[in-house]
Amino acid sequence: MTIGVSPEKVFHLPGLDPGSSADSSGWYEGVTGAGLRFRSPRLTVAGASRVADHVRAAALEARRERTLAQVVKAVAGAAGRLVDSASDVDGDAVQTLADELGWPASLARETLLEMGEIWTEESLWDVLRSELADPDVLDGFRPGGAGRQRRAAGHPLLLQVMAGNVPGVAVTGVMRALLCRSGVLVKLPEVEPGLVVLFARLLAEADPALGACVAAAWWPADREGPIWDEWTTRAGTVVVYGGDEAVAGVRDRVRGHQPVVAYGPKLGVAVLLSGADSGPAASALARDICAYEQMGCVSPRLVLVQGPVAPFADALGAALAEETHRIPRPPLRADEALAIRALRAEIEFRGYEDGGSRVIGRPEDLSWTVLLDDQPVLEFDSLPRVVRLSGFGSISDLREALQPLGGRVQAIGYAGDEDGLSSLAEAAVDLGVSRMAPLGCMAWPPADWRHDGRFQLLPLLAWTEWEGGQTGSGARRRAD
Amino acid sequence: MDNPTAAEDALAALDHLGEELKGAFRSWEEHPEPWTDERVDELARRSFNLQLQGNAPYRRYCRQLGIESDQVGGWRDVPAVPTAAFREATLMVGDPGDAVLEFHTSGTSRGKRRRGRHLVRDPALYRSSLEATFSRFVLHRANDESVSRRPIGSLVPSFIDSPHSSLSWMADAVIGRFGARASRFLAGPEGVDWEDAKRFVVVAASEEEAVGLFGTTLAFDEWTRRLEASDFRIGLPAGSFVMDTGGSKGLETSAREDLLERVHRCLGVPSSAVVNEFGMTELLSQRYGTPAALVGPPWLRSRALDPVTLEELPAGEVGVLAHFDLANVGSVCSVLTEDLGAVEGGAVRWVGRTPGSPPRGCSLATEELLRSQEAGGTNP
Repeated sequence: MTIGVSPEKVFHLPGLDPGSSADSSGWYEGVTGAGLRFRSPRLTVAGASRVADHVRAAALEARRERTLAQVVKAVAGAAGRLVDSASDVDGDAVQTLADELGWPASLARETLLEMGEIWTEESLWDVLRSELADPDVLDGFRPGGAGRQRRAAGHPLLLQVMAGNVPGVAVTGVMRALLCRSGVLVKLPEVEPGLVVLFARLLAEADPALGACVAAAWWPADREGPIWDEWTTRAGTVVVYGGDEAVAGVRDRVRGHQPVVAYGPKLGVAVLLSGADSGPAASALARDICAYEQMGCVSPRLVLVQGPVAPFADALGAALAEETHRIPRPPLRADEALAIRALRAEIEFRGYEDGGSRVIGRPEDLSWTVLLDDQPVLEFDSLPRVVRLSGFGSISDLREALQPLGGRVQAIGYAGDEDGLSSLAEAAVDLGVSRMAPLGCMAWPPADWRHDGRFQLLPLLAWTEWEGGQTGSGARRRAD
Repeated sequence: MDNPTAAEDALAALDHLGEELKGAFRSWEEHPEPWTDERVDELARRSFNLQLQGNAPYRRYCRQLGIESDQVGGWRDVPAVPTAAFREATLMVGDPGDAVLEFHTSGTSRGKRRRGRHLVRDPALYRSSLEATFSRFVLHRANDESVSRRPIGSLVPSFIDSPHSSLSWMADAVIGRFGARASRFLAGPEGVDWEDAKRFVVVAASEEEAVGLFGTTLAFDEWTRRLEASDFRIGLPAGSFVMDTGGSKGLETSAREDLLERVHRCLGVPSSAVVNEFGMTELLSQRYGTPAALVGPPWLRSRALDPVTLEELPAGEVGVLAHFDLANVGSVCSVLTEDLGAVEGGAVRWVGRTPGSPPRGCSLATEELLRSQEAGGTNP
């Protein structure tokens, strides 16, 4: 294994002199989601600065030396090696994810395969074309009407802070930066730092010039340090994935004019409209619940059922049992087990008082849990294979029930007839929901989805307009 | 209650067992002999049976777990109720209208805003457990010779000011039984009166009278910081004691060392006379000692369990703590906490409260939503 990521050295820092004490002094030690200890270098000011300079220079050079098509091909090629079971490193990628998260290999593989769908050349072009009428503006000046020409490029240096994300999203973020012809400095996600490093090494192996456009390291978020300061100061734009606190922490660090693109925590809601076929809907929803162990911003943690809820709740329980048999749940941490038990006790005992709340799931088995609430309760816990389910009457009731979550519902997964769906879609617009998808598709948005309801590339791009003509022509041009 | 006869039987059994336990607690106060496992198991079976009969939510919970009375051979077999249940259901044998005391939890467990309730029908049983253990583990430790009355100053408000606090009830009870006339509450609804607290110890020192000080760990922490800042030093007479109660709302281990040193410097009370109390609203008996070794009476048993399987862990291994308390005969004796700790030789080493699940992935947590709403977050 030449390219795999050893927990002793989780970083990709082009331009760094590994033997020089001027560049780094010792190591930071982090702990992944499954408690695996890993190390990343403690860069000095000189080291952090050297890496940033190197990446910036590499990005500027790549703009001249590589076409967008070459970038897309190289990026998709490196990502493809992560997920292609025939490749030599696919096993490393699966193992890295499984070890870091404590996931069974089957779950890690399935996650990578699904992520791989949006990492293909075709998908990357989909993203480019869905946001740019003419993606060639990333290669050179292109006609922009009225004799003008336009070119777009990201800042030569982006900082991408991963403080809360599902596995694989950090790689997607790096790809977006590279498509924008930016260099990218990545603060690795502590829960699963290895995948980005693996991707960067594969990219560097395939095309060293592009591999030099990515740097990745981890450091403790709550500690001041040269990397935080140097990298934040030098980045043109900061992209942060994380909770409100993490985002606020980043905003405190940036200078006034520096744009921050934040992807905050959200949740998915599954809606079963009356008339939907419960059996297939329950099976599809069970797949969505298990896909990311309820860690995703699209993961369905609330289920709202129009009409009687108990039959669907039981069907969902059966479907979760089946899905758990197919893909076993990762081992629970102590805090997760206790939280699930506490939640079950709450609902169980609430049911003794209100007669409606109920827990579906065997008492001795915490593999999955359906919590049936008598009334829609806007409490939701991000716990593996735990979902809360309640009923609603009309779409306007549903709209009212979700209103307090305003803007925090990322996705609505649905099953039901067309008439009901139109009203549901209208409600989704008013509630600021960024995505509606059939049950079974919630976990895996398409590549060109407007994440958080926004474009993915445009917020990272700046435009240069070149107005044609010669000095002194004097006439003010009018757009056609 | 489903069956009126069963309910009456349960209440009769409760009264009977309650009287028996009061006698046993008092007798232990005089002669602190250990209780055999057989004795505790026998009392556990009786208490479980009457709770099964007379406590409807608990009965349904046990049925849900598939546990019947004949499956309980001893205290370890009694199904433990997670503390979260106290937030949702009235866990009491008999009619809740007969409750004399209604204690509320702080309501901060796992960030949930709802408070748990523990209803008590027979305060005398609570009092007898409290008095026996306080006398044995606090007063005898502070002064082997005598457990005579002495002025006690309480840094927690009285029960009148805080009528749902089990800690305030405890302070009232301790002062009532063990306090001399000069005992008083040094805190009110607005918090601790630091000047009055200072006067209390100044008078005690000048009259050379040993006193007791009762309060939360955090109150002692703040008080001694204030005393130190004003360069206040006093030597309370030998036999004086400090009882601080902290647990999950207390201090880290290293900070505790600092606190003990400050108590010694500012008040002249050596660490050997500072007793840490570990109690919960959901339990009517307490443990005392140091966070590293909390001992309790023989009717309070504790286990450390594997958090996932709930199997009992070997002595000394850290797990989630579950307690069995016969003083809880009027509600539920067996309680599963969210505290981590180890049990060795009957003593509990308290490690800490399990953290709420850390944020996972990019999923929104209820608490984050509440915080953003409180901060004026926008709705579309």
